[in-house]
Amino acid sequence: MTRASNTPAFEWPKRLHVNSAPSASERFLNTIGINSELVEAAVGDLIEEFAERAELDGVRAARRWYVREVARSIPHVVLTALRQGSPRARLRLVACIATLMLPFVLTAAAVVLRDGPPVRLVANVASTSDGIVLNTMKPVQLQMRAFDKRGRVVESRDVRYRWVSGAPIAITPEGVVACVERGNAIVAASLGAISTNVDLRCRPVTEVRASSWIDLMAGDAPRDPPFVAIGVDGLPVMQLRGEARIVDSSVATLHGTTIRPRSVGQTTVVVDVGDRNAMMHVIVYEPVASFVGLRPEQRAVAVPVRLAQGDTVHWTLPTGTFWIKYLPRHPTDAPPTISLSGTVNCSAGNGLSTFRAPLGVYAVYCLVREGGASVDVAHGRVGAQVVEGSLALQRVY
Amino acid sequence: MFYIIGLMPTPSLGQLELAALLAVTHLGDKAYGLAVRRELSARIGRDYSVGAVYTTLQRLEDKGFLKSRTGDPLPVRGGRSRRHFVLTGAGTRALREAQRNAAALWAGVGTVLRPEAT
Repeated sequence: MTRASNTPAFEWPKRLHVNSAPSASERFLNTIGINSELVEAAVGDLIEEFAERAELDGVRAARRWYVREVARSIPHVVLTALRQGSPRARLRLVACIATLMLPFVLTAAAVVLRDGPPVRLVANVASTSDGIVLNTMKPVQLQMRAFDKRGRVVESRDVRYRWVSGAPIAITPEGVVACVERGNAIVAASLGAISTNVDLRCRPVTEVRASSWIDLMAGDAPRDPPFVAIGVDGLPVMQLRGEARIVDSSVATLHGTTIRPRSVGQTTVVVDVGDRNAMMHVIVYEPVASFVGLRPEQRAVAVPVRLAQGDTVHWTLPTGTFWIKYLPRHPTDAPPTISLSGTVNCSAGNGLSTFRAPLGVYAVYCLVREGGASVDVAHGRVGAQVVEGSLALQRVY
Repeated sequence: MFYIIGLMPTPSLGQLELAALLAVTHLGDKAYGLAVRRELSARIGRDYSVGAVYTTLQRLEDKGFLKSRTGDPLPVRGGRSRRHFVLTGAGTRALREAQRNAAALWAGVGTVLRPEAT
């Protein structure tokens, strides 16, 4: 050690002379199980050498030495405490270390888990190759997702938009777009330094036309719900973004765009496209051999029909109020001739005795009175060789 | 009834322990922590921390090679006492044994060791 030429002579701090009581750090070392005499001797050595160094090298250098010496001694102190301390003292030491480490662990965790700056913007759609399809007539907010370098979703509220090319679609800088006619446009979305072009496909839907009924037989194959979306030009819209949901999934379930019957009963399917929707009543019929002897709880039944040219089948109907429907095996098949006779009144005309089911309107609402009624299903000598389908009965009351 | 009388095996000495024992021997009645640390630094050329020196001295005391006494509080130490260490009989035996072991290990090596290149 050499004495610095410009360093004034060191003066003893008064507390070094008078304060022989253990300091907080000494008490702490005693608490974690270090021998108090050892602590006193070691601290005394540090103070003694600090004073010497302060006189020779200056107080600042001595302080640096002191801090370095204390830091170098910590591992030895910890090991000694773990070796010599009582179980309680060891527990205290472990708790102290854990407390001291906690901020570092939390800081490290925060650094590891923190979101980085956004590096990628992606349209919030299932497939970016399809672009963003808009079916709504009302203005709608575009949704983009921002990802950081690690692929995590980060804040993307400040995305800004502008029209680039294509159909003249009105879009605000905040991304509110109004589709009033059919057309495609390119829109630029930017967030800070990153920017991406989005293919915007305006397909506004003015109406969703759907069948009132979806008639299914228990055990049938899945079928697409019969609906069509109509655009502002009156033409069907094929690119749709929407949602279909079913009220009672014990009767039927939705798998993507198909509906699968599960058990006999009735439920409803709701289809939302843009800001329009349609509801369809789903009936799953129980296959039966005839209408004779139906129990009251059998509310939706269907008898299979298979008729060659010139064939006729005859069934007695139960009393009550029913929807009577012919369900062709294939939607395009021509229906047979259906004749009702007896004390029966049908909605298609009081006293109607013959109901020929046209395509699309193949249901009739009938009241069979106590006197009883019957139905004849006949296939003429013209048309298809074979007519196949089911005659369905849905009890209303 | 009989007793088995035998010699307790001497606990082994680590390198720093051996150096600390020798430093205490050299320092005589002036052997306390700071002096031992300086002696080690002067002889080995290595700056051991206060914690390392004191834990070693404490360990040697636990092994019975050293005994210590606490001096009077000193102003230069902030009113704290020096802890003076003295070699015990067991410490002396341990040093002799270490010396014998070293001599046995080194015996004849000098003739085959080449001079260190300068």
